Amino acid sequence: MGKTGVVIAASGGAHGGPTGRGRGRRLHWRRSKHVVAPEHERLAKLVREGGGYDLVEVGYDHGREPSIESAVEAVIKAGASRVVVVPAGIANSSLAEVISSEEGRHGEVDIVYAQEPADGATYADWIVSKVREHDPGYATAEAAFGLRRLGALKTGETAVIHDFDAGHTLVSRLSALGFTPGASVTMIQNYGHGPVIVSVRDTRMALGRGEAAKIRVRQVACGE
Amino acid sequence: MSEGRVIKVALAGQPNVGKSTVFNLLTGLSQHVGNWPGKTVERKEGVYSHNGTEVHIVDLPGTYSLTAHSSEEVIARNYIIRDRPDVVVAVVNASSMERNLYLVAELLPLPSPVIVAVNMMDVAHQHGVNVEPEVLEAALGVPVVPMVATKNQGIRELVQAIDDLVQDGALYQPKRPEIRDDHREVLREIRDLVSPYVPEPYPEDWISLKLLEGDDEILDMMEGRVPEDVWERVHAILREHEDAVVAIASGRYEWIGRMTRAALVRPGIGQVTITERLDRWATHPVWGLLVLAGILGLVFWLTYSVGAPIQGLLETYVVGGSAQLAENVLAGAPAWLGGLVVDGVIGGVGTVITFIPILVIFFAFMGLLEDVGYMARAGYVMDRFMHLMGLHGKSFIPLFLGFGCNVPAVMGARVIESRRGHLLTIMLAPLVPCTARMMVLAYFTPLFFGAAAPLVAWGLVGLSLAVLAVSGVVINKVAFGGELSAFIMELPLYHVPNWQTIGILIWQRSLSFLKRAGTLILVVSVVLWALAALPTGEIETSFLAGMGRLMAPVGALMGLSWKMMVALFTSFIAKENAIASLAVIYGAGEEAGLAEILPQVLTPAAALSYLVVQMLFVPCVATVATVFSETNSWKWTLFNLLLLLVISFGLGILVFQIASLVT
Repeated sequence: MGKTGVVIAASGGAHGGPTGRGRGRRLHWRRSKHVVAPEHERLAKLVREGGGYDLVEVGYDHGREPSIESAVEAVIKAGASRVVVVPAGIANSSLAEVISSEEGRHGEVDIVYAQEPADGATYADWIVSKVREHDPGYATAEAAFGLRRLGALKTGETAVIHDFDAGHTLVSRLSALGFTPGASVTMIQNYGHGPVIVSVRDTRMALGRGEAAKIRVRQVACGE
Repeated sequence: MSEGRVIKVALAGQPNVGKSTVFNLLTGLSQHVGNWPGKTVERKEGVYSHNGTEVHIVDLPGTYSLTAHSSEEVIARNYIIRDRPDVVVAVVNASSMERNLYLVAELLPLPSPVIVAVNMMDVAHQHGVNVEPEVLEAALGVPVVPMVATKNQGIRELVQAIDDLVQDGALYQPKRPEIRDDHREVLREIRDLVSPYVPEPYPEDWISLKLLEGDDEILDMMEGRVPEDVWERVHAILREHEDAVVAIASGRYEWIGRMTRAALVRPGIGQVTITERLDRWATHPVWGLLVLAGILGLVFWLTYSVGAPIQGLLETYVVGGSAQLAENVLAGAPAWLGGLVVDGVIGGVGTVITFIPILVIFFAFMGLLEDVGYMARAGYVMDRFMHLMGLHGKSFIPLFLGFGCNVPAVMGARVIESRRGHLLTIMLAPLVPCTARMMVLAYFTPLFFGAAAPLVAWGLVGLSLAVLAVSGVVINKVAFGGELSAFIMELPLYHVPNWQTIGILIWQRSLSFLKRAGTLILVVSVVLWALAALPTGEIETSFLAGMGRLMAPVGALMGLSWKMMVALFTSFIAKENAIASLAVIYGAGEEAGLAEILPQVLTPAAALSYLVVQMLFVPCVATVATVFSETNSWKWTLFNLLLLLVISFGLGILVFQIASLVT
């Protein structure tokens, strides 16, 4: 099975790019016309690292270089047999046309256009999940790694914290309270609805169901 | 030696470590309670003397870390950085050392020397954890004092350790936590960029670390100081390393792991602890609610069976007695002076005094439930229901206290960390029917509704709670954008309550109520008396009656005469005043007389609408005063008054119009 490439389609207009959380607001990037903006570069990096896809390129619309077309070309050249184009931020209405014409040009390659992000999802995570929807090779890698959400643990189960799927503020609070990657957590009470009680670092903590769903855990490996 | 020396000691610690017990032991009753400047966070200070040294202790707010998650952390760290206490005593809970030492890991990089007081050694032992203080002391390089504050153990050693450290700074050789290798280079880069702009007295390393942790307060502070081009570079680094916050926290926990490896001994007895056994009931989705209902029922029962009679006794003997005395003394004085003293001053002071028994009972229950560790469980089981209003389980207890009296409810809202949740809880508290309103309800309903009286009374209580829920949903959506902050709450281990801690808490809370609300109640009471007495001395022709007549058109919509409107106004002093003022206005000799007059002048529809308005009307002056002192904002206080005014009149009109159609 061939590789899956990812193209992050960003706006080349005046208000392009994701603003990010927290810190992002504070900084205004002066970007030159021919370079991938740092925030998009970072996004691509997160997708590469977070999703394990090494063919990730950024392309812009509105005539800005590198264009979406050239980004599609780049990932195909690098060996992708399937390309998932994902809009970063507000997609412009002509994106679908661009992609269908690209599909015509690269007949042998499967080019998929993914829908716009749902509210509140972080871009990188959302992109990864979108790509996975269209990637049969991915199967359930999350399950293969044994990754689950903390809220899915049954009463009495113990797991190790893997990472967080949450904003900076919550991650900061949780990690200060001892929810750090590698820490062992035991589910004390989980009735499948309402808040849960977990034990972490000798402390009982009540966590809202929403918060518990934002912590990814893995099974305790031998020796951990 | 050190005669006449004065030193400053700050007491730091996470919540649930017995910090206030340690503070009480050190200072006894020589405490001063106030607020941190510009904040609603309580600030406690105290003094003790040891070997001729005067030691001033400041109790810092309980915080899990020193990163700006709420105003408590900012207060704690700013005090240490700006006021440079001679010693910081970090109180930690021996039964959860790892998490507790996180705060110590954050305190050590700050300039003041730290003493670690390991409290609750007995609780830890019961839970199968033994802490070896000498080993921990050797590992950390800072003095470590084992304590059982509830049994008065270790306090002398702590005082001695503070003294030793101040006498000889060389004792302090801390092994500070260092950032993990993977972020050391980044931290250095940031420091090089920002260090010329770090203001005194902030340590440069600390500022750089907090920037890397993404601390909002420090980001804002430094953004204003660092030139734009440099800031852009700093920001680029920070964006690149947004995940550093987890790495830094993990690094601190790894450091803690190394520090405690030898000092923590777990005999590993696999026995079921008391906490586990109790929590099987207390946090169960069904039994937990029943346990909660049982406890709350007990609070109610005690309030009515103990609080109300004492309140009555105070009313009769203290207030009535002093009024009698004043009347006798002022017999020869002009009538207005007698009126001012008896109705204005003594009436006002009397209201304050009669509040005390109920307040004390509620503060005692709150203190007890908090101290044994149950409060967090109540919040846990109620969380699902409170979520509907955009609140957390934590808001439940203060709101419940409102059934006794709205004042402790508003004060109790302090337990909610987020400003948003705190404000919303305060705004909703006056909608909980308090005992005084229940008294009016109990007086009115039998007069008009006969056998259906209990049904009407419970219906009105239900209506109040429904209005509370709807207001919660609406205010949350409109004023706060419907966003809910994260629910993360520690469930502390259960332990035996410390009566001294609870006693001091009751004393301080009651005193604070007397001081803050008392003066305002007195003023409003005198003003209201003046309005009722001026200019003719007769209430019928007074300014207050004028105001009542002014409001008559609105009253007419609710089927209420100007007399009933005046009764509403006077209930502003205290809800139960409504009955007394009606008696005066209708010229009834005593309450029995009023009971005969009222059914003649009011239709059942009008009586129902009056009760609706009475239940939901602007709360009494004591509650309003407390709302103001707790929110520290005229804007929110006025918003609250307006909200209640609109709701009560709106529903009053609605009920009267519908009831008139039906009957």
